[in-house]
Parts: sequence; structure tokens; C-alpha cells
Amino acid sequence: MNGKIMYTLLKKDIKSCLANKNILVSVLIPIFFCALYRYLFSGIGEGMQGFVLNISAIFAISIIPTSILPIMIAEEKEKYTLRSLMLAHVRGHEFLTSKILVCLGMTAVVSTAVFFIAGGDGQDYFAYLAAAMVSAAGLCFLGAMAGLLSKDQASAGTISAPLTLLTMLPPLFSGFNDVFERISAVVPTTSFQTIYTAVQSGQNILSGNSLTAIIVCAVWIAGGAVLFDVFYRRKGIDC
Amino acid sequence: MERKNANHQNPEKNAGTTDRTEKIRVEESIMADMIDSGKLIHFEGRQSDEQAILQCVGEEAGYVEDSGALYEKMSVKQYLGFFAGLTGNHGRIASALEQMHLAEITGKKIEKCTEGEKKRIRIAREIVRGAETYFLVNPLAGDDEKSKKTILGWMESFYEREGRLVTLSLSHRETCLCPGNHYEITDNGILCIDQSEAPEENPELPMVSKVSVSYNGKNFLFNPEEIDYVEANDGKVYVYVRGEQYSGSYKIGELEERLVRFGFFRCHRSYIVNMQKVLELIKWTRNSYSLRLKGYDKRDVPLSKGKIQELRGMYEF
Repeated sequence: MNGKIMYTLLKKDIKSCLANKNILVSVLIPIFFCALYRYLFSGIGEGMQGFVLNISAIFAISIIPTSILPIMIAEEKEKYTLRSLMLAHVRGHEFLTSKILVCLGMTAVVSTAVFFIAGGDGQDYFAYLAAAMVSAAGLCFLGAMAGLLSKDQASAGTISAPLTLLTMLPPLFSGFNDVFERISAVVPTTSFQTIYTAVQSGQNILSGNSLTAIIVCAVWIAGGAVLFDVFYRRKGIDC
Repeated sequence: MERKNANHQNPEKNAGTTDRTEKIRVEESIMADMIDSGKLIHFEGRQSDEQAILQCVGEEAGYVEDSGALYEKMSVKQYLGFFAGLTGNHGRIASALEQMHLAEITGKKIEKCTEGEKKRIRIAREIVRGAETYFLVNPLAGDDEKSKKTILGWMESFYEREGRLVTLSLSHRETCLCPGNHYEITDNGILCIDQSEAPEENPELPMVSKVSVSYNGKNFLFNPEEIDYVEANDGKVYVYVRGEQYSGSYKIGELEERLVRFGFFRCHRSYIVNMQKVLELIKWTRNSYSLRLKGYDKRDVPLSKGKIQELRGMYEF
């Protein structure tokens, strides 16, 4: 990977994200709902703070990698700018790494914002952020594959909508019954919830459910990377 | 024979067929030889011919698309700076801005630029990339005269420098305006537009002053002075009268012989123009001119380099 190319691509991707209204609106959704829930549930009790933080963080972790990342990739394909990058000797993995890094950066910023809006405990912040990043990283490869499959931004929206729901809903419905709980345990967004709950309650995160959650995220990251590599080799970036 | 629309951007040319693509593949080696044989090579063809030419010029060539491929939210300077950052060629930005006459609009957002300016920005991008050989698609399309003039001037600079320029235009007129060798990609192969005409089959034509043309299967006779100009394209001869295009079953050399005594001038291998109808002589570069005719706004008739002196002698300009 060429450092000069990565730096130039990162700079461009950050600027274009900040200039894209669709992306900005999507990024602001978790922050908006966090502020709204905080206001609506303000008089109910202390436990609601944790609920608001959980739900808002899950929004951020699921929306940004599975919805914004495909749009960012598809936009370059739709406007034929991807081709001009390839002709300027930008490699496919450099192009995608830049997009993934920007998405992870956005997830970090939004997760931080909802943490402080929801009134999270400052002592848990770094553990919270690490859990959010690990979960989001697992979903980034899924989003990148959706982006590669999409021809344009409209088709990216169609492909990413069910992905966002499939990653957002399991942790929210995991308490309904045992079946939901078992299914949701293999989704990275639930892993975030499990790890952060363990951190809040002072449990050792390298044991029990937390360890399982970390393994789930690791499997998603490793499996996603392998699957993505196979997909990329067979289809290429401009498929 | 049928009358075609006077607009030369024939939509049929955009619809490539599989057979044609196969044929072009066979012609690729010939095309590669043609490209190697000159510095400025211009093809007239369809959009579907783009890939074949791109393969012949090679991946390292500066490829300039017909449309799209720009980061519209960026300014001209930011866009060129971005590609300079990718290639490490920051020193080339100033030269690219100068060559494409973009210095005045460096701060302008690309989304606000005209199509002509966008064409120049794409070429500037490839200059910044450091390309030596260029492949441009539809370089002169559009109405922006400043951009046409700038691009034609830049094309001429290839006579005096390293590298090669290859273009593909959908329009016969635009192909003929470009300085260099002109070829047409047809279903039957690649033809040289500038090639010598076939010998006349019937030299003893009657000296009649009417010109017979057809439109929708009907035949019409026009007085020579009614004809605005004549064009040879796709192996046929088209006669233009009051903005309409009619087909004729002549060879362009035959028509030239018949029309020259009525004030017509063979301004290009593919064009004969009625000098009475010429309103303006457009100078694109030192050696590149075209003729603008009454009623043909922005659809100029090319004037080839070899004919400029002859016309200068005749009209003392």
C-alpha cells in the first residue's frame, strides 16, 4: 500500500463525506435519536440512560458500515470516478481501505457523541469505543461487498437497507425469547452490547459471554476479510 | 436513399452490435499499426469502438472520457491537486493549467463549469498524471468555442513534442477538424478518410446545371446556387440545402468538377462548400480553420490545412 496515495485518498474521502448531504443525514440519525430518547426518557429512571446509549450506539455501528460505506463506493462507480482513479494507479485495496477507514472514523465520532449525549460514564469510554470499533470493523467488509455489488447509489440503498436492519434489530430483540437470543449472539452489534454491559458491570471481558462476543467479532472480521478477498478476486472492483 | 438528420451526431453510431464488435477485434491489429504510424490519429466511429482503441493505445495512455469521471464538488485546483497527490506530480499542475487555459477558473467548482471546461479539466488531469500518449473521446463535441480552440491548439503541439494523440469522435465534421490523419471505423473495416478518391467511372458526364438528390425515396433537382455544402461520409455523398440533408449518388470529385464553376470550393477531402454561403472564417489555431455558413449555426465546415493557402490566395485574407 502506497502511503502517499492513501493519504491523498483519505483526505479526499473525508472532504467528500462532509460535503455529501445524504451521508451527513445518515450520520446524524443516531445522534438525533439519542438526543430525542434522552429527552423523552429523562424522567423515567437511571436505567434508561444505559438503554439510550445502547440503542444509539447500535444505530451508529449498524448504519455507518452497512449503509454509508456502500453508498460511498457506489457513488464512485456511478460517476465513473473509480475508473479515473484506477488509471491513476490507485489499487482496489487502497481505494477500499480508505473508504473503510473513513467509515470507522465516522463511527468513532458518532459513537463518542452519543456516549456523551446519553450521559455515559467517562471511565468506561475507551472500553466502549474499542467495543464499538471492533463491532463496526466486522460489519465493514459486509458493507464493502454491498458496495461492490451496487452499480449506483440507488442500488446501494436497495442492497444496504436490509443489511442495516439485519444488523440493527437482533440486539434490540434478543430479550424476546431464547431463539432470538441465540441468533442475535452471532451478530457483531450484539457483541458490542454484551462487551459494553460487561464493562459497565465491572466483569472480566475475557471470560464468559464477553469472550464469546469478542470471538464473534474476530470471526466476522477474519471471515469478512477472506470472503471479501475471494469476492474481490472473482468480481473485481468495477463489477 | 433516405435523408438523414442534418445533425451529424448520428444516434445510430451509439448502438454497437456484437457483429461489429467482433469485426473491430479483427481490425485491432490494423488499428494498432495505424496508431503506431503517426503522431496524431483521429478515428470517426461509434461509442462502442472506444474499448478497442483503448486497448491499442495501452493502459499507460492518458484516457480522457467523453463525460463524467469528475469530482463535481471539488474546485479545478483541488481536482488537479488530488491527482497530483496520487501521482506525486505537483510540479505539473501549473503547466496543465496553462496548456488548457484554466488559470482563470482554478477556484471554480467543477459542477459549475461548462461542458467545454470540463473537457479541458479532464485533459489537464492527464497532463498532471504525466501521460505521453493520449486517447480522447469526442474532444470537440459541444458548443464551447474557447474550449475547441484550446484543445485544437494543444493537439497541434504534438507535432513538436514526444508522444502520440489518438481521438475517437462520433461526428465526421469534428474528426475532420482535428489536425492529423483521419480514419473512419465502419462495419467493413477501417477506412482512411483522406485517401485519394477512386477514379471516375464515367468521365463523360453531361454538363447539366441541376444536381439530382434523393430524400425518402423521392428525387429532387436543385440549382447549384441553392446548395450550401456537400459532404462525403460513410462512403456516400450528402448535399445540404437550407439545413436539410439529401443523399446523392455521386462521387465527391464528380460534384466538385460540376460545382466549381458556380463558386464552390473544395475546402477538405470530404467537403465542398458554396463560398457564397460562407459567413465567417473561424480561426481555431495558426493552422486550423473552419467555415461557418449562413443557417448552420455552430456546425462549421472543416477547412483542411492544405487548402488554407489556396483560399488565402483566392480571398486575400
